[in-house]
Amino acid sequence: MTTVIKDFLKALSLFSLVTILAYMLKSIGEAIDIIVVMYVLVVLIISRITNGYFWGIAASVSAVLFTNFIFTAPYFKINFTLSGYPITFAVMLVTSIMTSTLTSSYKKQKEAAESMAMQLQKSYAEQRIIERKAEKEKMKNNLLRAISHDLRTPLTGIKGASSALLEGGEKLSEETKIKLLTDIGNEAQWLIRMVENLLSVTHISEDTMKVNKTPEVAEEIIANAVSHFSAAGLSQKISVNVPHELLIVPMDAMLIEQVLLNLLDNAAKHSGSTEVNINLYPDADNAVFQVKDNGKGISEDDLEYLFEYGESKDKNLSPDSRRGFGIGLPTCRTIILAHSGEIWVESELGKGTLFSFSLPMENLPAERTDEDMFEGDADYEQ
Amino acid sequence: MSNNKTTVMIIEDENAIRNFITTILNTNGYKTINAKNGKEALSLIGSYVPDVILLDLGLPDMDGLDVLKSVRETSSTPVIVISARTTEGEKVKALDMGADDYITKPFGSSELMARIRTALRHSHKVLTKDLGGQEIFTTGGLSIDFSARQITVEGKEVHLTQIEFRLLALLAKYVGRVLTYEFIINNIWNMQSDKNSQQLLRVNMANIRRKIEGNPGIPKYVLTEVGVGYRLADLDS
Repeated sequence: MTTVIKDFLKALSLFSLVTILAYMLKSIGEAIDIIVVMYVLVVLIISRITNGYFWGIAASVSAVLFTNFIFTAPYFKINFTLSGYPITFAVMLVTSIMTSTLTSSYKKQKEAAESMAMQLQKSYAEQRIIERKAEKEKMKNNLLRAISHDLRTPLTGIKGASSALLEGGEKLSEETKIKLLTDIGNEAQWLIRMVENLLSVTHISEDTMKVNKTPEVAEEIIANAVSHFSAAGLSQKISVNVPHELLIVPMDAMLIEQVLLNLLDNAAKHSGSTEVNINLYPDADNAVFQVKDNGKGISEDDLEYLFEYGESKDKNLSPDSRRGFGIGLPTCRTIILAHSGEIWVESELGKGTLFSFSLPMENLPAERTDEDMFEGDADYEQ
Repeated sequence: MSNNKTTVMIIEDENAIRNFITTILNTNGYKTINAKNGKEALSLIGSYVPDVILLDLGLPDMDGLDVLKSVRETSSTPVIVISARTTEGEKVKALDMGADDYITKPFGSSELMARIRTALRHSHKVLTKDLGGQEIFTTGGLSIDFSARQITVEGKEVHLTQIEFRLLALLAKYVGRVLTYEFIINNIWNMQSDKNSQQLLRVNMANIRRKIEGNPGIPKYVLTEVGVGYRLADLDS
């Protein structure tokens, strides 16, 4: 609506301007040819700067009428029968219309080309969004598959044990009851660890795949993980070595504790080890955390799939048999990558496994302003 | 009608959780009062006057923190907040609003009983403290002689700086309870907690650990509550 009004005003003002000019030229005795040429020019300009054919054609018809009406005798009367002039008028009308339609069609083509380019660009961007979505969707599905596998087994165990206790009543020996209750407790503990893994993944920003870091004392995080782990009632002997110097590492403390808990859990439950050693040391600008067990080790084939959600090396294997690995280690990798760190594993069958991960440290002097701190953190996100 | 049993009020909307807490407390010789929501809790507190309150922050009818606020307006009954692991901010808020301690879900019976004992002892200490005033504090192998400003671990004397001594003394005064960064920094440096002062606190705590702990990686005395603060372990309970 507004563009129509704008075009009308443009056409009207240009046309009026030329008419006034032509009138002035005529009063100083210029020939009619000049006026005709001027009208053709203004028709061309109007066609160029307005949308569609309409204003150009309207301008050319008006130009013919005005020339006849104002600038040829008899003045202020329409008369096409004047000798010699009908041809002039006809030529003018045709020229005007042709110019108008030509510029209009040129503009239309240009617009079409532009909109086509834009469309292409848009569809390319859309394509990329779709691809990214599909990728995320695939990861989500893998995660969900891994979770449902991991949920079913302990839940079956809990349900079974509790109904055995309820229905068995006094027929069960004290020993059996304690065994069933211990199983319920252990399965529940497994479920708790799993839910905490899932919760921890939600701390990672979906857009950037990064976490919110605050400077933390690395040894405090280790101490916390060990005490939580011991509280869960596992019997392995845990030793810890921390360096004399204080290592301050920007991290999401809950997530790094989760990584340590997963690694401890893995060492304790699946490796059959009797001792677990945690080691912390600085390596250039990184803090390196290690969790070492003396268990049965991991085969080379399994090592490859250790950090993948729901990927099994053997497709024939029943999903339930995969429970050994679960979502713990893949979650570790997701968390460490979100910290711009690295995680790796070394294992020897029969001797044990060593999980290591490194996190970038603050390498700035102790006296710093808050702005420095912020920029420092931002650097790590690169 | 009245007996000498300690009374614990459980404010928790989940039946299963209320059931197991009640069972644990009853078998340990405590009397329990149950409240399923905030309104019920507030009306029962007035008539039963519990010795300790266990408060779940996620209640159906009102914010657990508002229940805490109402309780604190009229009484100093110890309140232990039950909260989820991922909500450090909520824990700090509850502690700053006058909660005595918190326990993180999921928890076991021994952890729950230890928290309740600490809370109870503390409320009794407040009553008797100003009369006697103890000069020597001990927890496990750690002992602090306040008048001589002397600290020994397993009988061996340990030298702390002025600030380190004051930090440890503050933790000892509230032994078993978690003290927020904010609270400690206000008390020791008399300033607001910010990134720099928290860093200062952490460096000092790390130094204390290196002096009094056998292995600073597995501390026995000074425990960290990540994102919340520090706690001196109550090893004599």
